[in-house]
Amino acid sequence: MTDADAFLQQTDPTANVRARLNGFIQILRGNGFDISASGIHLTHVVVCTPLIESHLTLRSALRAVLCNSKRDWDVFNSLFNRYWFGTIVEQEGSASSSKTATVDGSTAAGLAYFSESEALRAAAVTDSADLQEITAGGASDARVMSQRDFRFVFNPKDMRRIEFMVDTLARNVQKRSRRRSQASRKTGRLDSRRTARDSCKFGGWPLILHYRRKRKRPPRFMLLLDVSQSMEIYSYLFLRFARGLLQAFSDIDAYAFHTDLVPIGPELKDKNTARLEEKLKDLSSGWLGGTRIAESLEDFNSNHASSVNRNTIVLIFSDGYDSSEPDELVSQVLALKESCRKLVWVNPLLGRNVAADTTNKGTEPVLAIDQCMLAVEPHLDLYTSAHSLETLKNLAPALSLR
Amino acid sequence: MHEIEQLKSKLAEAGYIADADLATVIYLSDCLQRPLLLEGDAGVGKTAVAQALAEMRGCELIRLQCYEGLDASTALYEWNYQRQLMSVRVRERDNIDSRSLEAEIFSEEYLLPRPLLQAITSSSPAVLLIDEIDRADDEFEAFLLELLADFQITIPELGTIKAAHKPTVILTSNATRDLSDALRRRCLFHFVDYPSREKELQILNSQLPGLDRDLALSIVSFVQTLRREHLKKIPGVAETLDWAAALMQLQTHDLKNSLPQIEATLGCLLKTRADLELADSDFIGKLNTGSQGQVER
Repeated sequence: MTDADAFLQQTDPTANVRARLNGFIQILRGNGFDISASGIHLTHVVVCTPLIESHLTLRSALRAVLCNSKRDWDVFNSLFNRYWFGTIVEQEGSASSSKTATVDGSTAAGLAYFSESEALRAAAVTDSADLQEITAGGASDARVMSQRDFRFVFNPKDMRRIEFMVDTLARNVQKRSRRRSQASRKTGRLDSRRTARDSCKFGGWPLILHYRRKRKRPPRFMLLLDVSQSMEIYSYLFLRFARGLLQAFSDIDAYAFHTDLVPIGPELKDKNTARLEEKLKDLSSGWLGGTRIAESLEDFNSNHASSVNRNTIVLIFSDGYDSSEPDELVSQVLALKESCRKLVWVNPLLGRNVAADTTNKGTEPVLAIDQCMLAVEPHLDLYTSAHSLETLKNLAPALSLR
Repeated sequence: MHEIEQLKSKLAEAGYIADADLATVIYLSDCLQRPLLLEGDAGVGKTAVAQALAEMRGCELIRLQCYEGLDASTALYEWNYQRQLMSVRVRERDNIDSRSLEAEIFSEEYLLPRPLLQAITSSSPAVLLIDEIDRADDEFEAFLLELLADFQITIPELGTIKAAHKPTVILTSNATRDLSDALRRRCLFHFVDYPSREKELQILNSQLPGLDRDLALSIVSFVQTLRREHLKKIPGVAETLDWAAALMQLQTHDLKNSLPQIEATLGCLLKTRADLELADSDFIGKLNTGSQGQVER
């Protein structure tokens, strides 16, 4: 018998547990659990069953009654153990523990562009348990991490966590855009063919009417990533994010630009990390150098614009630092906007400027970089920031056609 | 707890290896007569729970496969229109009172019961499996609420039909969309995850008793390693079983020296073109070496 079971076997276990049950439910509600009155009633019924004999069966039973989703399911055991036993109960092995197995040393040894994170992804998955840890008072680790500017992440472990979160975010963007949370109320147009065919069994009377709904075409995405020197801090994470998007969506392509434009879509679609790394090494000559956004966009408009149509959302990840004149950039942006459905510019410096504004109100001079973006901004459908995970998450609405 | 252990072993006899968590929830669902909502990725064995329960209890398994556009008439009942029309035409000559004719053609005799009504009116307790509820529209979810809460169904022409024997209701969902709170509140929830190495090995040994133990261990290690890769569709238990059966057919004795066999049968595990493209010889070789390392440990 464990210490936890001994706790439950005190004088009147049912009375003890029932007395503390409301406190537990308050904790769960505080952690985002949606528990109704009938749920509370059910928990009291559960503790009156023989399941109370062991903390494991009681925990499983309460978990089944009080959880409504995978998120609840994942955090329930840790909350239960903390509340009832002050975490004296060690975490039992679960199916998910298989995900935390050690990684092959050979992969871990090849630390390079993408493979470092890939090799240590399992470690990050282990860390993700920490990310989900719920704190009683202040902000959790995960929250702090999601709000931290990418340029202030120096610790390799924190960087791995952020990379893992970027990957997860990219996959979730796909889920969010595809998930049908509510059935459409629109009945669509009458499907005369199916109605006529179905009426045969009723002697020709159209008793049941069938309707046909027009299928929505998912949007096509075009990603243009700035990999110049000025974007050094961010371009790596944006490439990871782009890779996540490329692997999540089917109709998507990507180009990297600095002083030239380089197609990177097929490379980023490759799931084999070692192969991807090799391909990127071949492509990356000249990366982290100067930037010619206007010329790169001109190259794109004249040679690759055929892949952009009215169903395409174009996302430009750049700080807007261009060595050419703002007017040139504006004319290229306008040309691109004409051929696509929506033009989104993701600028990691945007949030940083806002932060600076709050501290140095009115004292900060307008830089050349701002002049470029000031000229371009009115012609964009969306101009947004992405200097932290929190701001990157806000990109989700930009990925819909509306 | 004795009852839980007993339930686990009975389920194992019926061919389902359940962990203590799942056995507890099934026991609780029985005690409280609450529907059980099983959520998890495709191929982790949600539907198999209902099949094993029905086999364990020796009762009928009534299955309703949900899809977008599923309506009450397909799930609950339908009037036998052809028969009704025929009756009306035959009786037209007899000058029968229209009210009595109407009462006759809207009686149980002209009713075609569909899975939900079958489960409610079954003469013995049945297991009702409502599979992939997340594929159905939320109107259908709302329609299910009466059944799940009170085990009764209202047919406007006939009135309310209460269950003679309450069926054990199991709903499964792949979480492709959020289910309504109302539905979730009426159910006990259990998330079915991919099995641990030990559990998957048990499943393999119980489902394929002829499989060599060492080969089974290698297969499980390989699949467990494969699940950690960036795959579009992560292989479930069903895929592992298929792959093991395919390797048995090809007379494979150990995975270590069977790269051609692995390549030939990988379609059992990987179900999308992108995943198959990822799995070239190098990738498989690396995965195989990694999994062999785990076996040896």
